[in-house]
Amino acid sequence: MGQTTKESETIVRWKKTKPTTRRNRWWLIVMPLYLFTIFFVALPMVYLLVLSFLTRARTWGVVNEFTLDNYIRIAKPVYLNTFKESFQMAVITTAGTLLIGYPFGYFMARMSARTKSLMMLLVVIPFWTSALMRMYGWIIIFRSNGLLDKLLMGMGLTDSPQKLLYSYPAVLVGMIYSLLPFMILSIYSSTDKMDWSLVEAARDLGATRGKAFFTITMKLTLPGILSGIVLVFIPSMGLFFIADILGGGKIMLVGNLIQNQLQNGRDWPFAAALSVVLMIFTSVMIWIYRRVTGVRELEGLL
Amino acid sequence: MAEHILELDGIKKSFDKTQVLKGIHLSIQQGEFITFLGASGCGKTTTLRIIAGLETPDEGKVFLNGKDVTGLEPNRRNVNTVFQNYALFPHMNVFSNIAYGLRLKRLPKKEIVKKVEEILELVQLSGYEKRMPFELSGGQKQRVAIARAVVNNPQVLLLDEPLGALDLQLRRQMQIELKRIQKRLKITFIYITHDQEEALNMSDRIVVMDNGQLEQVGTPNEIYYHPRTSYVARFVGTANILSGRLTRVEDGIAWVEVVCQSREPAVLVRAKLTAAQAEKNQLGQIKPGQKVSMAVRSENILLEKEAGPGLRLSVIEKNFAGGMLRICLDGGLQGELVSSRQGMDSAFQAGDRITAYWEPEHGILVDLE
Repeated sequence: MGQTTKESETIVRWKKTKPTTRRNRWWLIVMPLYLFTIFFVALPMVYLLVLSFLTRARTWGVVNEFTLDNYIRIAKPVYLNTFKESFQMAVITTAGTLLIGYPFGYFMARMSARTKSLMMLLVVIPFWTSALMRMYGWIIIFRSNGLLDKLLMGMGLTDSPQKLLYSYPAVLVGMIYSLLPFMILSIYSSTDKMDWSLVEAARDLGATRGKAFFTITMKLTLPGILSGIVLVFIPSMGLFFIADILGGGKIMLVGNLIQNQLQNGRDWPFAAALSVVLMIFTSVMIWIYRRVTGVRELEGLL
Repeated sequence: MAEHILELDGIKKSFDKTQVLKGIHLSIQQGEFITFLGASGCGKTTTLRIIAGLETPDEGKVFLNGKDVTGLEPNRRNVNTVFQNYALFPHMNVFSNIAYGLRLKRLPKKEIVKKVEEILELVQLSGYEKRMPFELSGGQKQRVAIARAVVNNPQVLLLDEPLGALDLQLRRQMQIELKRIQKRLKITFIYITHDQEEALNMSDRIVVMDNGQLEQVGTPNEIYYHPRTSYVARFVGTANILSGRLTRVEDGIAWVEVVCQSREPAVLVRAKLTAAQAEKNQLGQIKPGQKVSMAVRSENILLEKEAGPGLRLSVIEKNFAGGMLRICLDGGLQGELVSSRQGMDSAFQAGDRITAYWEPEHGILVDLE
């Protein structure tokens, strides 16, 4: 008791004497953050936006000539369709990660402290290897006469080698696989903060296990679900190398289109315009989602 | 059987090889206000959780209104709990919190509104329906938690240290209010606390628990005036415990030989036998020569400067708190003895040699098995 009052006294004294000097130097601490944001976030965005209104040079690079052509081109059915397919892929991927990630994160949060940290390690370990390398790992599993193929034949489900690689499901598996940790971690972080006596209170008041889950646990972990959805949905719109490696160029997502235009087509303004549209699209999606769910804060994000 | 609303029959429970409940037997009557009193870790909360169904006993049975409910899920027992930290649903307002149980029962909307309004009036929170839990003070949260449990009209209401987080003044006020609510609704209350004052003030019966066992069950009077064990005597009303040898029993008074300082001669002190102890004495179960412990409450220890029949002790220190003066005495082999009295008293100073004595009815033999 005596100690706490002494502590609070020192805190009060500290607060009384420090503010002037603290406020004076405050900007020094924040400055690097501002500089970083300006140089690595704001300026590239402005560059991108400007680029999207310029004209492609005949040979290489860009000509400083204002045009809206890049945006008009996106309205073509071919490109609109790519957007539609990307959106579809992103939705299915997000749903898939949520379906696997929610129970995963939920049970992880309910384990003992030791098991928790072990599980956390297992979730994070894949990040130690390049994502590209891990995709090649999936090729070994998916290719004809590969691991999965042999397993299916061994179980007698198929009798000849199948074409599993370079297909829509293969890309989907790759997408869900690489984005799952983001979902798990955000579900985990909100489930870990759950006060389980609330669930007991609900059970005590007559709720079945299921009812208690849907009225209490799920409602209280909603911020985690939401941030997981955002963390998975946005990258899955733009990830191009997974569709490239596991889809064999047959599956064209917005990310692939941008990469194609940038590297193969050398049409920087069009790639920039696609990027701008993609950014606007995802921002609108988040905005709609937040309006619908009414959740303002995203767990550990924004 | 039917008059007992709740019966615990040989409840045992262990967590990770440590036994927290060692066979609890208890019958509770309809409409009783019963308090489980004990230090933290004595198993009182586990007992409560077993009654609520949040924990299953390893052995033993729980009967609710004569029906075995041991294996029944918490949602299928007509028992509600007021949790220690209130456990109000943070994403629901006061109305939805209280209506939670009623909605699960699928009562018509009008009835729910009516019941919630009634119960809010009972806990004096009318008009707070739209407030969120974080907008409430500790006392208000407490009232909502009580309302949320009581509105379901449970057969037994369990309260797990409900006033523990409130300040002293508010706690006193809520004690009175809880008692009023209990009288109004005639619901059986099982109340958990480590605060002896709370237990003595509110209960019809007190269950003193220690180390997973029931030490004594009785009315506040019985517990206070006739503690059966030294633990109860020390925990309720902080008594002094002396040990000695029984020399004889005469007219219901036991004479106990107590040695205070090894160099000084033994002193005879007196303790009055309770009815049960007198019966034991008749049966010859209490024998002269056996070792006994006796309890004397500090307020009953009288002091005198002159030498006389009683313990010769020296005053170690005096301190004044809560309107009571505590005089600590060096009891030698008996440890420290405390005498307390109302108001200040300058007759005794630290270092003084004094005589401590008490009336025979204030000496209580304890720990007689």
